[in-house]
Amino acid sequence: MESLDYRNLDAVFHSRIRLAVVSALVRGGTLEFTELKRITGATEGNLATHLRKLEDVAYVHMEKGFQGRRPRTTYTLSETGQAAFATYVESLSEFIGRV
Amino acid sequence: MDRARAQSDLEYIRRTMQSVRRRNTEDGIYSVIWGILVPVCTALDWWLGAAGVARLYVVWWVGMPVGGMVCAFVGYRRGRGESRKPLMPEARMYYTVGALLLFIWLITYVIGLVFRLFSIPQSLYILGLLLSVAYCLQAAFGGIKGLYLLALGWLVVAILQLLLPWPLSSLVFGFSCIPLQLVPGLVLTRMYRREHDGVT
Repeated sequence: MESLDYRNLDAVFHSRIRLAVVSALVRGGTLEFTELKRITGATEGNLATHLRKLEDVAYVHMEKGFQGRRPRTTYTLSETGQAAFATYVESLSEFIGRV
Repeated sequence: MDRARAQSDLEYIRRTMQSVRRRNTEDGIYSVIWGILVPVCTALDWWLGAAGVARLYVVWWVGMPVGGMVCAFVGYRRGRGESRKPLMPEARMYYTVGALLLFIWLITYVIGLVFRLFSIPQSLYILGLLLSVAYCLQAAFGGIKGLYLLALGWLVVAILQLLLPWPLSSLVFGFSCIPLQLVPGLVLTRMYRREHDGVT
């Protein structure tokens, strides 16, 4: 069976949580931390770690603000993140089409 | 990575995106409100008119503002708990288009009545068309194909407004709200709650 070399794929997306975060942001634009937590089903600590990794590679932008008196943390996918995600999806689709 | 894993990743991406897309759509609470109110007003209006108890349309002048106030109250309550809703471009667009459609109908209705350009069946015809467009948009934004059937249903109701004699046409319009507003509203509300109770 033909296989796809992991080394050719973006390692950031090897985690399902990071993959879910980026997929959600592609579709949803700007999302709150709490919303991402619901979407991924991850714990706060776990999600925060994955989001930090995505921030480190500049795939997402974090913004802290307030809605009324309530603090709000939102995340947006950067252009770099969008391009990386598109490449990842393309690689997977090409591979499936090839085998 | 083997084919199964690649397919599983793509399926996971697809499901997540679809789930987020559905979360952008409005739940069916407003459809439920109007789906109850309009048939009740229709029945009451028809009964009052037939019994000669009151002039026709009195019920509507009371019922519609009540519906509007209930919707405004629900919207206000939701606005306060906005944290559960993401600020998404699609949701904003949906609300904007919905408000625009309602505005167009109100203007048409008022102009039609004031200048006697439209009869009531013609005004309901326009409302039916707008509801059809609204369901088409909701189906497209939310990726819920079943809503296209409702769009078709409202189109049929709209056409019937021009074919049937009044007041039968308005009775058809009013009671069509049960299968075309109330029932889908209840289904949408259920779907929305399921989506918000945990997704992936």
